[in-house]
Amino acid sequence: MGFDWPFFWSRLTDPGDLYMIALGRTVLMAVLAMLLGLVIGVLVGFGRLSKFAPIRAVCAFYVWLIRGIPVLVLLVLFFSGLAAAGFFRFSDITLFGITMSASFQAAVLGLAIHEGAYMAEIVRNGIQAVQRGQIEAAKSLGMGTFQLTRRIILPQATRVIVPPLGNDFNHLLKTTSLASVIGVQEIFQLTESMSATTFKTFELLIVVSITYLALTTVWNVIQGLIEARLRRHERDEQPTTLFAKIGYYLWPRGDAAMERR
Amino acid sequence: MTDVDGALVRAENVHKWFGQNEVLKGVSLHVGRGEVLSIIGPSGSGKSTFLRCINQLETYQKGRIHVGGELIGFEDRGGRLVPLPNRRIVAQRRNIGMVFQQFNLFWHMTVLENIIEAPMLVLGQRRVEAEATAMALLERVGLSEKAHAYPMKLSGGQQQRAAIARALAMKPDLMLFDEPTSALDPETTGEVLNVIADLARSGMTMIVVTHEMAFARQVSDRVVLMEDGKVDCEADPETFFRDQPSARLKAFLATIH
Ligand SMILES: Nc1ncnc2c1ncn2[C@@H]1O[C@H](COP(=O)(O)OP(=O)(O)O)[C@@H](O)[C@H]1O
Ligand SMILES: [Mg+2]
Repeated sequence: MGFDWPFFWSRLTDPGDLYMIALGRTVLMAVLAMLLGLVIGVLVGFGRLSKFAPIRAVCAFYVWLIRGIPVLVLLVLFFSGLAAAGFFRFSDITLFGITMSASFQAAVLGLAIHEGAYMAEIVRNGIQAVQRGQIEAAKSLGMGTFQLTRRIILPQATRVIVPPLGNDFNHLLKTTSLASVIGVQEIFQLTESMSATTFKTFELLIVVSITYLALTTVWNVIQGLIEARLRRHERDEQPTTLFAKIGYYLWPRGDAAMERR
Repeated sequence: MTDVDGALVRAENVHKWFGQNEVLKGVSLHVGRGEVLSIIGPSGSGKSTFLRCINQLETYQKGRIHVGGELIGFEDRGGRLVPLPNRRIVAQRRNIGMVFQQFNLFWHMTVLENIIEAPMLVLGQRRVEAEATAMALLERVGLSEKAHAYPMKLSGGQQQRAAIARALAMKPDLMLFDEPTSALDPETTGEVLNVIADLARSGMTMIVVTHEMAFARQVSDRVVLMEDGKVDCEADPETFFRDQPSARLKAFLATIH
């Protein structure tokens, strides 16, 4: 009994190929779900502000429905539920030499649909944050709807959207662990199956926790760099070194926050 | 653009409702090419709404506005006015510059980027060409050293001068100013009024809504009092301010002195 330090250290420093592949799957699942969710979020976010009432209604319904269902239930529903009812069965596909299992596809889709609903709200809020006056100025300069959406609304909305979106991705990196339930071999699923054979449950769970922590830390740094770039126009002196940029995000100056109005 | 009866802008009996609220009750006005028209009047009298109808930020529901001989916002089909498709309205706005009370610079762009955006995007100018024009305009409004600053870092007066340069970069035939100095400190008001006066002397056709009576008197060719959605009286600035040819004008001028 007690904590098996040698076992813990060897798992942590030399996790092995199987674990690294699972880690790749975790990251890939999060990235794909994020990208797909973002597409859904942008479409639905704009749709919520459409001039056409039926589009607004459909988008509002989607957001309401999906935000009311637990992700775990959604994943199982997609993978097992649809197949059980005979509506749709995911099957393995191979793209560019990489095989994506049926459960992996169901997980990506389920996570994306879940994320999309949250992102739609973030996107809608970002669009609404763009000052009316700037849109009118763009119109008065002869810009068409598409031009002013692309050049004025989207870039400004992006500044509002990115911080909560980054927060969502941080969340998503860990939510991928739920995919273990439908049999995706990601790091949590691997951890569980290994603890069933080694009985080193506690040690392995600490290792997997540290792995998730490492993922979110890397993401924090990336998010810091993106945000420092987006906030260029709000600062007198621009952070130049990598360290200063990260620092700006992690420890923003109080007065800079005040200045933002 | 061709003119109708020598007027670049001709508004006839323009009506505008916001729901049940009739805000413009038959405005008729004309502005000759190269002329400077100042509009004064109490708050809520419809000055902004009228300016915004000229470049279709608002749609009027009755009457006609011609700019350069072109009917704004509608097509005349045998006396019946049919709204133009959005694409045509967008095109009509290109020749009309507008300067807003709140400046409305694009916050995510530097001053220079603000100015070159529409010439490149809308007129298809090349960057070198657009930048050369922009730098000349910044020189003209005295803002050359702020070309690469972001709007948030500028004073109100500097932002407004940049906004004027941005509108001028489209080489408009007509400039509309909606209380361009109302959001400014008294210290920076002068610098913006100087730029506008300069532009007036250069022969630009302009409609200026303002509360600066001294400015209206010195710079305009004609001054108009708008009250309750109608033009109450109009005259050359000397007659307007000296003789005060209407009872309402006397009352209005009394409130601001
Ligand atoms: N978008 C709008 N919706 C409803 N009412 C409006 C709107 N804009 C202006 N109004 C009303 O129209 C009237 C004239 O406003 P405005 O043209 O801004 O006057 P001014 O510029 O002379 O102060 C006011 O009573 C105002 O409340
Ligand atoms: Mg007004």
